Amino acid sequence: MDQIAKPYFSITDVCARDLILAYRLYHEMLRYPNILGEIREIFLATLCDKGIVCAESIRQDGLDQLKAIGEPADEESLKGLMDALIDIYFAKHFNWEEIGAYINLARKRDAFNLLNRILSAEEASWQEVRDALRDFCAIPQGSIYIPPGESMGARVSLISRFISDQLPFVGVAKHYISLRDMNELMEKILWDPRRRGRIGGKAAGMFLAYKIILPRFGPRDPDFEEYVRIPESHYFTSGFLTDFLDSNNLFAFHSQKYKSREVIEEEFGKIEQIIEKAVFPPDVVSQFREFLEKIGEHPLIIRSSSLLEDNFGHTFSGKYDSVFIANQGETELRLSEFIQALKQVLTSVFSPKAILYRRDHNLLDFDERMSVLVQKVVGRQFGKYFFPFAAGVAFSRNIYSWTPRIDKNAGMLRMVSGLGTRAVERIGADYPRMVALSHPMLRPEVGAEDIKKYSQKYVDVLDLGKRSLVTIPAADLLKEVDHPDLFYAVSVEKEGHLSAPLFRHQQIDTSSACITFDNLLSKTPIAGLMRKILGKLEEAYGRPVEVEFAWEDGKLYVLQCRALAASKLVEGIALPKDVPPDRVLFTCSLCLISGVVRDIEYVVYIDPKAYKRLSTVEERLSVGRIVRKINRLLEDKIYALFGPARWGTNDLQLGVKVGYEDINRARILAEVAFEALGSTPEPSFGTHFFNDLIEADIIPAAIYPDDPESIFREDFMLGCPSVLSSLAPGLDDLGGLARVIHVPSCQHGRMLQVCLSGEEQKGIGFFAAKGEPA
Amino acid sequence: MSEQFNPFAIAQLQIDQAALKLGLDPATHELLRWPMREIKVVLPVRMDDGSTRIFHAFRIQYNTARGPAKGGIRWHPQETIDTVRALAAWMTWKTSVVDIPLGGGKGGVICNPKELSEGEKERLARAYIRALAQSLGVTRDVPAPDVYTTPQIMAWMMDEYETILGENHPGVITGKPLVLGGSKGRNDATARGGIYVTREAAATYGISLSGGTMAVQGFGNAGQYAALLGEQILGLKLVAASDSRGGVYNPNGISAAALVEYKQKSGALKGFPDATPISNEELLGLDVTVLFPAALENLIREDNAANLKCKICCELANGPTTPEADRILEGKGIVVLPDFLANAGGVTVSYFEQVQNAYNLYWELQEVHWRLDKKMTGAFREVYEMSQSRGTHLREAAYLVAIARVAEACKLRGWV
Repeated sequence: MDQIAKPYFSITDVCARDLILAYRLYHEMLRYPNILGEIREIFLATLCDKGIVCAESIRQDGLDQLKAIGEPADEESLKGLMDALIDIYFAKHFNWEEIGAYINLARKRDAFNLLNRILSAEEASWQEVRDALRDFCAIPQGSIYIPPGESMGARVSLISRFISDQLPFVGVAKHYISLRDMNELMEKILWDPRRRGRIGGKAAGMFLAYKIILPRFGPRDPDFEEYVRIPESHYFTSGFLTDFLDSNNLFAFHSQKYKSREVIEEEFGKIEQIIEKAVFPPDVVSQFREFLEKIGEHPLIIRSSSLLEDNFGHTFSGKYDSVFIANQGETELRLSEFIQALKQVLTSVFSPKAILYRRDHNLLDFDERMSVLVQKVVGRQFGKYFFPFAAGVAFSRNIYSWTPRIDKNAGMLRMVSGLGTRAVERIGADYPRMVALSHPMLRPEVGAEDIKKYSQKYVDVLDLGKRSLVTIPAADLLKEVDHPDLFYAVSVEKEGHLSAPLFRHQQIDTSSACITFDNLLSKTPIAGLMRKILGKLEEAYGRPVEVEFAWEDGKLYVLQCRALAASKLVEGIALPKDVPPDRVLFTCSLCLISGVVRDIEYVVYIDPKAYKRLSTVEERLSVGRIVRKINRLLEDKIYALFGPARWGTNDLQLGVKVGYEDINRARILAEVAFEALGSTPEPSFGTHFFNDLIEADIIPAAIYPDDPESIFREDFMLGCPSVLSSLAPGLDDLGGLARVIHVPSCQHGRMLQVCLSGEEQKGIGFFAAKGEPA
Repeated sequence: MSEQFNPFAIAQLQIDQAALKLGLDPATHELLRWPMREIKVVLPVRMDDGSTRIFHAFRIQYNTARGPAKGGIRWHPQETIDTVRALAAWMTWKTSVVDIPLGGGKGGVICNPKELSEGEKERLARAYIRALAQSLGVTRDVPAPDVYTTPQIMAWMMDEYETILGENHPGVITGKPLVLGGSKGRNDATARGGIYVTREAAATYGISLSGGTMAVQGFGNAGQYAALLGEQILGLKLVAASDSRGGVYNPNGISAAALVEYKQKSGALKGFPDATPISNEELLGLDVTVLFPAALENLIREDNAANLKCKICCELANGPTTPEADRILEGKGIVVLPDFLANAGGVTVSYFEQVQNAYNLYWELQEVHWRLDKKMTGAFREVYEMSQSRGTHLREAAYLVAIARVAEACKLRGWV
């Protein structure tokens, strides 16, 4: 800025109006007597910045005026006169609104400096930080801000103290979460009176996602403003559950994770019982009561939000519990239900599946603490039922691209009617709607029969009368509930043809309806919105993301967001050509993801036909136990696990009930679907179970032996000697149902090599010597 | 890996065998071995992303001696002209065996409907009609829905045809939605036709149906209606049914309506209360009066045919019995109602749709049922008499009836 050498104006330029404005401005400034100097500094800097006048010329003006009135030009008199001139200049050139904004800026700077001082003092209490932030945010936001670069340090400090100190998270969050966002968040945080804690990964992920989608500063997408919401959320810091353990003398639980797998499994039942009997301190219980009274009778979900959970690359999918509560009726009843749910979430920290997951991912030494995210369940009440119109899980990358037309980078949805629980679990013979966001209306099934077969048959809802989550047939729900948005959910079969209703208020024959969401996908902005949201989140996180969502009354609710491990998405696998037929063990034509596993030494075969013949639940459960034992026996070997479709299902008729911890050492998890057994591997991409496989580098494969285009050497599986009895003498293989084959012994030293290509939707498992090209 | 086989070669073999039995002259025999008209078209279709894709399509008018060609349009990625030729031949025999004044045809488009949006499907449907309009029409060739084509696609096709001609021609396509001139009674036509034929066969062979039992393999549209109508019309008790996920069995009887409702709710039969699980193989071996194979091809094979204990096997599915199994069933004295007779109810009601369109007068449901009954009963009688006079089983007899009729029409026209 050029310095103005001559005085900007002489006293004759000042009129009565200017003096009146200057007087009013001075009067306003006097409301903040402690920061008069700071305010004038900002005024002067702004006058200079805008080229109106500079400090030098004001000083010259002052000197001239002193000379004109015959007073000595001492520093004190000069300063007083310069202050007056700054006020007059400012009042003359800025309107009242601008003046207010600049005074506010001075106030913000002052409060910000205080906040910075407190944040940098190691001994500062969280309450002091809290108060300083609150004081800062009590100043209206206005239109003139402290530059983002200046406040970055404070933002990082606040995020680390209260949300998460995981560096990858902080690295992203600092760009999107402002000081005022932190204040808004902290208004929703409930603190334990004795222990501080943080709000944990899941809560952090959701809050950050919302701020990325709808930033406080900077341009906002009008579509997002119109449609995107987050549910009312409250954050109970990890301090509550730490305090709970402390006050019940349960410190020893923190060392549980270092015990052997067997002991962890054995003692978990006892831990559950002890936590069940333990009590929260009375002042904390009062806090819970007060919270419930304030929030009223609205169904709640108590979501685990541990410090490690949803950390980048370690999603802890389904490892910790989330609990729905009806939250209806008398306060004391609601309180007891709420406390029960908190205990259940806490207990899950000590569950074998969670601890073993941490062990597998080298997270054992982290001091894991559990906080809780309490959200009002998104949905509407219909009679005794409460549920959202639709919910599910969305991915920014679509590995389930069953046709080359689908753009993998556009993302995909796994969507259900009702609560999203059915979208994230493997749910027996039921199917969520899989939506490729590049082509939302395409689906791998054609024809009414197939579409009906692969559609959702059951809906999860909250039964407010029973105070629990229940699963009811979709047909019953459609009959019972007159949902105003049914038009968007179903297609109706007529004369063998399935089509979505043509008109919004058309009478729908629910007895012939099946859930397809065709109208939701074609007549609402949901698909486009999700695609944009996923793109924006992936860009911000710098890696693929997974978002849990609900759609209710025309609004899209973001319930949760996690960053996925980027490195797991392998592409460009070239399948070996011309493998001699006698070297092929299997081929498959449905590959969800690409991957290569070389030199597999052991093949474990759980004979699907023998499994089908088992008649009792106990027998079928015992298969899961054998799989777990074999998994341990082979934990330092490379092995592939083959068995009935579907692994990990909750329906014992369909497949073997196993958890992540039971198969975590397998490198290939193959589902063998014999047609005569009526089994159907499900495209389970997006379930917790699938996430576990991907994170643990376990590659899923689906084999259809009866498909004329496929190969499956059942004779190899059943004909080669099983070494199970020598590996584990005395272990019952259930009459040969469970077989462990040492591949090199049966294949002249060759190992099993597996290549799967998601792009080509093909895969092959063949025998070759170590290092031998196919 | 599957062995490569050519369906058209099989169709020709069947004609050869019938020609021999019928003593057809060489010219007639040769004429019937080949489609009379094959049209191959190339369809450029604008895709949603602005690009243009070229689709290859066929229409085969196999034989029109008895009337305009009749047959569905298939949309399938692995479509081949030989498949379409074979299916067109079988349509010729099917319309002939139920004695409706139509020939046989079939169409195919090589495409993967799973990869097409609704807009792209519509443009493809219209492109097909634009390319073939000159060869279609109520007096030339009347297409219908088939693999992966739907009433909606038929509606687009009809609209395109009418737009080209500038006049109302609903009869150019059958299988249309009701509001655009579809026929009542189409939903259960295939199963109902099979039920009428079963009733006639039972009466003819002295098999008592009242109080008898039935098992249904495959519980899709045809299987479900077979169970319901088997109860209502034939007085049979459903004891077992199966679908791709397993079956259910109760020797004391299963309510067909309850089972249909359960299947619609849960998507499967498995878990139906008051019934025990049963596999497809076990179901085939049940001692029932009537077995309805209603889903799979090659279900009854040389290795399991000896297990069958039913008295009547009504083939609602296409090709459920292999030729080797056929011989075994014949040896066991099981009455096999061959597929192209037993499941001809569908094409018969398609023909009714065409008739109603032509008259612009639409029948009530009872009239459709009455006329279907008459057609199916008549067809069975003809086939039965042929089997008696020739001393052969019903499948061969049905071929002989059908091929003889077409051959006669060709002769009378002076073609051969």
